[in-house]
Amino acid sequence: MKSKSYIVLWNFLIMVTLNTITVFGQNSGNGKLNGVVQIDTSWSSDIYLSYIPTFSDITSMSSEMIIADAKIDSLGYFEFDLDFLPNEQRLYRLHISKKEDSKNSLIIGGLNENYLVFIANRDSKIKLKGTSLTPPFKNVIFETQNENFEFQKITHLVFKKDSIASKSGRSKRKFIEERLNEKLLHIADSSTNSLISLYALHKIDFESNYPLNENFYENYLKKWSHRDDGYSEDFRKKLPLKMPKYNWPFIISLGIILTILGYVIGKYNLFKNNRINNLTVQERKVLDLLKEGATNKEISEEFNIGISTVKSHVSSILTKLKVKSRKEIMNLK
Amino acid sequence: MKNRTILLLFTLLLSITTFAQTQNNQAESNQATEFKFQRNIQLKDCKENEEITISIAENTKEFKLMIDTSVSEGKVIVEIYDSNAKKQGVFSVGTQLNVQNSELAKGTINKALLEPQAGNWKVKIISTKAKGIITINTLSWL
Repeated sequence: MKSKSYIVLWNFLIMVTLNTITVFGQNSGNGKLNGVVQIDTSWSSDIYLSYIPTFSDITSMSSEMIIADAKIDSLGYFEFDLDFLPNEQRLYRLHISKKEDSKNSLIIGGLNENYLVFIANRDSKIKLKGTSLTPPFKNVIFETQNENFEFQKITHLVFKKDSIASKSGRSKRKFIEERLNEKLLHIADSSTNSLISLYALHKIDFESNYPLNENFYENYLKKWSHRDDGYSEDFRKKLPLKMPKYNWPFIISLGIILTILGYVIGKYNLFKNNRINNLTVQERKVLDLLKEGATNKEISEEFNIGISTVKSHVSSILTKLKVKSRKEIMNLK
Repeated sequence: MKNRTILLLFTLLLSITTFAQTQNNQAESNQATEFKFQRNIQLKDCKENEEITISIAENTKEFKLMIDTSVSEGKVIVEIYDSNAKKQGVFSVGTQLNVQNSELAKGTINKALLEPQAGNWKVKIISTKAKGIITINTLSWL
């Protein structure tokens, strides 16, 4: 009997331990980023990982953005643990710095462009290989199949466009830009990952592209209306949405009608005021008391006049103001 | 016979000299005119928003722009607009607030274009309590 209890307790302990391991494994994440980059001796051997909270911050540099750093060995290899990242996919940036520069250095464009943007979360297993020396992150190949494949397709397209555009005349550049924008719009439209989709729109420069493709952007907002992360919010904020369409003929007609109505009401009040102006000084004093609901006797005592005189004043007031009763007088303003 | 050889050599020498001179003149006439522009802006003296105009002449064949920003305090945003007011680039650099001995933050942008849009390009500098320096370098060839 005793040994049976021990077996049950033992089984229970094993189950609890296994469950704990499983749950811990699921929650802690086991993401990793490793790769190889080709760098010459002008670069420092430190590589930095930064968190990019909005697409506009891709080209922002501040030490508070840096969340981890690692060493690049003599073969160009580096590695980061990603298990501390949030569960949701977000944007991150890798960058290196020139030896003479601070670690917080960002170089945009040219042969020394020093950064690479990618998507990750705590479970991402990213393996990349840089194939270019100048700039080091120009032709990066992602060796593991994940969302960064599609993400880098956008980066490559833009690199290619910038490279051709810098060697092309104005007219050719315009065609190249139009072609690129078509491709990026297609990616934005077809991608099932909102970060990839938004990255494509960011590279189009959606603020200036919006007037050319209003319908696309309106449908796009509807399609992704359920997304409430910082990237989507920032996009919605910056999209120069057109003012809602108003029914101008209706608004103008309503304005005219209200103006006429206001005029008529004003005139009616004016007539009333004119009628009051027809009263004598004594009648106006009586009127003030009538408005307060005073009786003939009270009015008589107030002004020290006879009841019949009061009655005569009241009758005259009713006639001049064209009202039928004392109650109507009380309602006058 | 000797005189004839001398005359032939002289004529040959003269032809070579004339040809070399013509080539030299042609090369000189093909050389493009280069324009350089440099401006340094101390960010402690910078107004909150400052705008630098860069004029690009008609028929400019090539244009290169490099903006180098180094900040020791505060934050600065640099925006580049072409003569059609189209944004051609933007970046920002900043340091952490209330941190002593904070490191420098640097941002550099490079742009190179053939046949750029002629007119007045603008570099907008939006500074928030920033201390540092911005260097704008341009090179253009006519």
